[in-house]
Amino acid sequence: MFLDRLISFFTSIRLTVVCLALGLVLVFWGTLAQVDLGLYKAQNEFFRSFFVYWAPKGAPWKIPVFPAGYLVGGVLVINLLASHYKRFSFSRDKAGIWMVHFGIILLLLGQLMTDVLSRETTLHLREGEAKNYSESERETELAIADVTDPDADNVIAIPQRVLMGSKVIHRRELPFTILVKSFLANSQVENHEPGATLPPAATQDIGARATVRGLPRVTEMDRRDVPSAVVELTTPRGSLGTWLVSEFVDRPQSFTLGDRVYELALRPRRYYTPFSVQLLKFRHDVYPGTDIPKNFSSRVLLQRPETGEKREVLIYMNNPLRYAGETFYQASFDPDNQGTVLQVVRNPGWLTPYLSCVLVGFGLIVQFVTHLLGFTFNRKTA
Amino acid sequence: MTTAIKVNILPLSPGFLAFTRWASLFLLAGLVGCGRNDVEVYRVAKEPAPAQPAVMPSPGRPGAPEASIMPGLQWNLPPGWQEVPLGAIRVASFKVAGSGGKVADVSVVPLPGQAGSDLDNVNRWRGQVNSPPVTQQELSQLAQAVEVGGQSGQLYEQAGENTATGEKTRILAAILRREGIAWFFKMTGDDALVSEQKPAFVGFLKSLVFGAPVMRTELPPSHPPIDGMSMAGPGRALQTDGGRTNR
Repeated sequence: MFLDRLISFFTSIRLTVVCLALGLVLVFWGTLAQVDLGLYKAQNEFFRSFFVYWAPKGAPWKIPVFPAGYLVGGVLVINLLASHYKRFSFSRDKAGIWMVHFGIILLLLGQLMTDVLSRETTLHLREGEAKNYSESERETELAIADVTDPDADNVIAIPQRVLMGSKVIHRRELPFTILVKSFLANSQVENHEPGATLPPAATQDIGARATVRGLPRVTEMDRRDVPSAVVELTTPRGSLGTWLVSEFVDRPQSFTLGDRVYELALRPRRYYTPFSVQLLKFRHDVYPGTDIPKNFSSRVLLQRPETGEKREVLIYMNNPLRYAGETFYQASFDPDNQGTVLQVVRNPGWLTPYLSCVLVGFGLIVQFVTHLLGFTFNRKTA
Repeated sequence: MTTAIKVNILPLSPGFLAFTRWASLFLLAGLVGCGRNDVEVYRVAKEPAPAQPAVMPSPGRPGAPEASIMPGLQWNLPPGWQEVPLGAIRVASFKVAGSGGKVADVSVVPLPGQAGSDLDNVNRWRGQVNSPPVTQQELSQLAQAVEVGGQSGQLYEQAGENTATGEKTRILAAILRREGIAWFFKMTGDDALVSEQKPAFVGFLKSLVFGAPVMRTELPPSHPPIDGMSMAGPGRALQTDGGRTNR
C-alpha cells in the first residue's frame, strides 16, 4: 500500500510540474540573491544544497524555507526515471518523447557531474616562469616533503578536508605520525611580540615566534579564508615538537630527522599536470591616449616532455587554450604588467549540455514529424 | 487508424534496465565520494631553495594577484625616534623610548589590495588591547581625518589593557589606501607615552613622501615562488620514475 502510494507520488506528472515551477522560482530568487550574497555564497545556498535556509540575524539556528537545487533536481530526476519505468513503453510514435525526456535527464545528471567533478584553479606566472601545476583558490593542503635527495622531493600532500577531519594521520611513507592539534579554517597569524596576549602558537620554528587565532569564516567572492593548523610530529621515541603551519607562513619550514630533511608547508592545494606552461610575455594594451584596456594577452610556451611537444600559444580574452582536458582562460594580471593569472578549468561534463540540447531539439522534431505524418496519412486513407 | 508498434530496442528485461539505471546513479555517487580528498604521494623535481620562513601578518589573500613591487617611502624622523631593523613586512620601523623604561613601537606596513576592511582591522587592534569590537556606525565616529604624505587617511586610536601584562596600552593606527596599496602606520606601546607622542606621530605621517617603486625582497603571503627561467623545460615536469600515485 505504502509502496504503491510512494510509486504513484514519484511517477505523477503533477510532481514534474511542481518541480519545474519550484526550479523557476529558485533560479529567479537565487539570481536576485547574488546582489547581496555574491556569486559563490548564493550558489552554495540556493543550488548546491538541499534546502534554502532562513535565520534571524545573530540566531544560532536556521530553518529550511524552500527546497534548493539538489532537492528539486534530485526529485525531478527520480520522477523522470520512475515515470519512464512505470508508464512508457518504447513505441515508434513515442520515440520523440523518449529523446526529449532522456535529453532532460542527461542535462540534470550532466549538471550534477559538472558540480561534482569540475575543478577551477588558477595559474599565476611571472614572465619567464614555468609551472606544471595550478593551484586551488579556496582549498589548501599540508605538504610534507622529504627534500634530502638533491634532484627531487618526495611529497605527501594532505588535503584540508583530511586535516579538518582527522586527529591522527599516519602514513607508511613517513617515519613520524602527524597529530593535528588544532585546525582553524580561517585565522590570523601575527608576530609574537613581547607582551602579546596570546601564547606562541607552537614550539618549533616560526610557530615559536608567532601567535594564531581563529576568525569567522568568510563567504564573499572577493575574500577567502586563510587557514592555519598546529601539528605535532611524533615518533615511537617521542615528540619532535609542534609546528604552526599556515598560509601566512609563505615558505616551508624544515627539520631534520635522522639523516633525512623534511619540509612542512600549508599551501594552496596543487594539481599537477604532465605538461608545463611558461609565460613568455604578458601584454596589457590600452586604447591610445587613454587607460581603457583594449586587450589582455599571455604568450605562453607549452611543453610536454613525454611526447616532446613544444609550442607557443597566445591566450587572450575569449580565446582560451584548451589542452589535455583543461581550459586556460586569461583571468587577471599583476599590477606591474609582468605577470599573468590564468584560470584553469577542468570540466569532464562540459559536453553534456550540448548533447542534451541536441537530444531534446531532435526529439521535439521527431515527435512533431511523426504526428504530422500520421495525421496526413490518416486524412488520405479516411 | 494508426497502431502503435511496440518495439523492444534491447533484448533485456525491464528489471535489468532499471538495475542499470540505478547502478549508473550509484556509480556517479561513487565518483562524488572519491578522488577529491585523497592524500597524494608524488615525486617532483626540486623547487628553488627557500629562504628563512617569515611570518607575514596580512588580513587574507585578496582575489586579485598581489603586487611584488612596493613604492618607496621617505620621512622626517621626529625627535626621540630611533630607526630599528625592519621586520618581515615592514618598510619602516622605529622605537620610541619614554621615561621609566617605557617604549613604543612604530611600524609602517604596505599591503597589496584592500588588506581587509577598516572595520576588520580596527577590531583586530581593539582585540589586542582587550577592547570590545565596534560596529560600522561606531567606526565612522572613531575615525579621525589625518594627512598622510599630502593625502587624507584615517587615524584610529585604541586604548585598553594588555591582558597578558595588565599594562595600559594604546594603539594609534592610520590607514591610507593609494594606488592599489593599503598602508598601515601604527604606534603601539605604553598608554601615556603613546598619548604624549601623538603629535609627533601625526607630524611623521604629514612628513611622508611616497617615492618611485622599489622591488620588494619579500614575497607576499601565499605567493607562489618566483624563480624565473630556471623552471622551464623538462626538468620541471613530474618525474616518471617513481611516478605520481594516488593512494
